[in-house]
Amino acid sequence: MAMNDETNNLGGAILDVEELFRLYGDDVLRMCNVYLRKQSLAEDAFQDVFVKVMTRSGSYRGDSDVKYWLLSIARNVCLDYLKSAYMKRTSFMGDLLDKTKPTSEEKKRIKPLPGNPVEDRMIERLDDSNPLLSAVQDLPAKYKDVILLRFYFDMDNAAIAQQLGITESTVRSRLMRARTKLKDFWKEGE
Amino acid sequence: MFGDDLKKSLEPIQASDELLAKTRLAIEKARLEQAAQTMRAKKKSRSLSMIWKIGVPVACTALLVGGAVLLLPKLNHKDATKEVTFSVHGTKEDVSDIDLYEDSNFTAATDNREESVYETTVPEAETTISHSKQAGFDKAEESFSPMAVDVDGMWTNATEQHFDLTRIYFGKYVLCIAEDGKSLELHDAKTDALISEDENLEIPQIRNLPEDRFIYALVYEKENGSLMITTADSIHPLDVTILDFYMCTCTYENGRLICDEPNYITSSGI
Repeated sequence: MAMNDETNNLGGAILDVEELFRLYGDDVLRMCNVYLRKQSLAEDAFQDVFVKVMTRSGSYRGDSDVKYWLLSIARNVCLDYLKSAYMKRTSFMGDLLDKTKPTSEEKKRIKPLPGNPVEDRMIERLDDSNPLLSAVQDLPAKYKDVILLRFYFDMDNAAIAQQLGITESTVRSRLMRARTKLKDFWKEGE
Repeated sequence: MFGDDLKKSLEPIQASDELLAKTRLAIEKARLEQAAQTMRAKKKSRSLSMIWKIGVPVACTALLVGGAVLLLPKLNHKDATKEVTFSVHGTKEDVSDIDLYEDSNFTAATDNREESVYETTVPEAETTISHSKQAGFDKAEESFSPMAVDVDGMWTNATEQHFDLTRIYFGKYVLCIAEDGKSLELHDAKTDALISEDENLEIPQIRNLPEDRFIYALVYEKENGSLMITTADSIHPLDVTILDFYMCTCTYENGRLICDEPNYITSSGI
């Protein structure tokens, strides 16, 4: 679930990892999952995010909401993962898988053997039961930023602009382009 | 609504207890590493500060000691140079300090100066020694006879060889002062036996010699045959305060000694 109003009261407080887990753990893991597409990578990034938060807690000035500070760290960690050589190799493999992605009729005919982790991963990859999540994951990073902050964390354009260090007009244009890409999931009247 | 749909699609993704446990472990590990790094940094900074606190004073002290070690010999050399310069312009009383210069470890230049001091001052102070060294003992004895009195009351010259003023040789005879200092005696020059007066041997005698006077010395001048007899108020040379002089003529030819009576000439005080 998105962060509630309770998190805003943590600004300037001494950071407690258990409290951060309780308040923001799921949100950070979901954000990492959107950026990195894979659950395993998202879990690795999740650990790195909280390690950085706890080892660099001295850099938190307390003048802003701890939620935004935590989100900026999570975003930077995910972008670092995407820039890494490992991600470039796996992305190349992911592209190959995408090109060989079976059709819906082919999926029904595939019956994987249970207990094989490699096949489990492939099934996880092939599982398109959540098309909206897959569509958001496939967006470029700059569109993921605005979509997540605007529609998951319920931030307005000004807050998004401040969080990303860009202007509000840029936020609006990115939202427009992302919306265009996700037009299939947009209901009329929104 | 798009937002609600997105939230519903992400809702199944939740941080499991296993993931949270792994994350706690990673955090603790990172904290330990951070603490170790902090300790290493503090040790490094402490060692650096120790270097500054201890090393700098030690280095300064070493520099001071080294500078002193380098400068002190130069200062000593300057003092020695001043001393040598003073000696060059000094009086002959400085000659007594020559031994000091000979024992010093001066440089070659300083030694040259020292030699010049020795050469210029020593001849002024000890002319006789220099002369005797150059001319030999015999010539020195002929030309110069500095007199002194030894512990036995005998006259000696500067070469420490006895120069007897109590004896005058006339051929095989020797005229000498009697032991009591009241008369003159004639002895054989070889055997030193006392020879009595006879017609061929006339021994000069001072008549009416006062009791408090003793014959002190004899000086004979061969060219004119004059004999000077000196009497003193004491038989011991060191106690003499008054000298009386008598003169007579003595000739020695063909084994004959002829002397007339001594005449009183003068007296002097010492």
